[in-house]
Amino acid sequence: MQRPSSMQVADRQLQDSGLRHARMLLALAFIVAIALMTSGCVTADIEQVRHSATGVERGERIVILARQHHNSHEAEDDFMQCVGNALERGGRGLEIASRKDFLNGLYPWFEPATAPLTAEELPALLARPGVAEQLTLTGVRYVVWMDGMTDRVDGGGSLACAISPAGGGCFGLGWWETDSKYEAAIWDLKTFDQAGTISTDYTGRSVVPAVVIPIPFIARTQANACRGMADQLHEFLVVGDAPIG
Amino acid sequence: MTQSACQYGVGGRSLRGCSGIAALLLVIASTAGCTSTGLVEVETSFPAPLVESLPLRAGVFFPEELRGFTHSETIPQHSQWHFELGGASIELFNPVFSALFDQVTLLEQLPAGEQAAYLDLIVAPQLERFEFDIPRNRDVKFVEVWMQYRLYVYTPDGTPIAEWPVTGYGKSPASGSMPRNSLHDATVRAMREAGATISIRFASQPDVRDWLQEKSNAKTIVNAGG
Repeated sequence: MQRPSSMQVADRQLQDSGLRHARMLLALAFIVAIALMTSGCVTADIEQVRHSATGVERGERIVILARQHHNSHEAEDDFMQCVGNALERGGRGLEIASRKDFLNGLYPWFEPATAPLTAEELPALLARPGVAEQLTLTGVRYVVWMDGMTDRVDGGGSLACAISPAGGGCFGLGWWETDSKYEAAIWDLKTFDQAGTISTDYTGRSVVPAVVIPIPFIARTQANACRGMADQLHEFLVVGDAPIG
Repeated sequence: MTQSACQYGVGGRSLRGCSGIAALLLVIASTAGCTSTGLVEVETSFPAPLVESLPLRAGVFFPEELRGFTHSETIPQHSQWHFELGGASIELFNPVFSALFDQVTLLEQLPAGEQAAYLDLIVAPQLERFEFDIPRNRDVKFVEVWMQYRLYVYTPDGTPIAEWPVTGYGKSPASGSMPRNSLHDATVRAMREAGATISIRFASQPDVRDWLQEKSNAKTIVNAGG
């Protein structure tokens, strides 16, 4: 059997190397295409129910509190901060009261175990010595009870990374689905009733394809839910003469 | 084993590789079987409760066991935790009792001695139990804290009026495998709940209520008598 010359070996190696590069590029294109097709999309479901007319007058403030009596979930601090900041921003920004100051000033009446669960309990609470006066001091007219959380509901794929003295890299495709589901109940302390509820549900799939370098495509459901909730709350509170129903 | 691999290595390159492997093995050996340790020193101030005060002069005694209360617990193959709750308990009770009673005198010792003559009752809280849990799988998202105080209530001469266990529960979203801040937050929530219970329900505790009733009746008789 004739042995290949060194030129032939070099040619073969060049061809193999080119083939490997082409295959890698094809794989990368395929993974990126799948990632683009399946990620970046966030689907939203928003509902608003109004029971009574609203409106914010000068000096009236809003406090956003988390419902804490469930064992399984609780609205995250940063989510509520995000909604508060979004409501405060802009030319028609609303005045948001500090959650900590509100809870400390009205301690122990808004703790998880003692907070009223329905707006019907408000008159009895305000009849307690000092409570109505303290509420007046805070300037809060609307209490927004935030319930819900962002949760990872599904995930899959396979992403492997390796490192060696020669270098490192990752290969594969990982994905996960997050669901940011929140409900805000708006209580009017002037009329002692629940003015309405707003619920937002944002789901999205994040994908991380990797051919040597991982490229994340993150579905930012919580950030979207924050924007959606803040827009709805602003509209609900400010456009108070909207039709009821 | 590392050493023998080094001996058979050729040149400086192999020796450098060996020292890297040795360092890696050293790190693995030093961390294998170890658990992380976390210290939760609860340092916060608590608000004064917005409640109507009882027309009573109370003496408050903080026992040494409460002042220096600590709790240490090891979660097998996970972590070790040490809680310091004495200072925070005093920070909790000071505003609670100040709001609950018309006058509050801090007592250095029990029996109260001469100070007792000016008091209607003496309250001495103890921290009896402290428990916590941290998530060890993905489905659990919160750290939880449960604690139980016991309030001993006496007349100034030391006769027991009531012994009331008060519980507090707090949870907080967990972050990372050593959720120190979450545990701190959950502990503060549990303490706030215990404080809320005391400030709202103290006067309606059956033994305290009966004693208040007796005291009120006695006052009425004294006033009627002249």
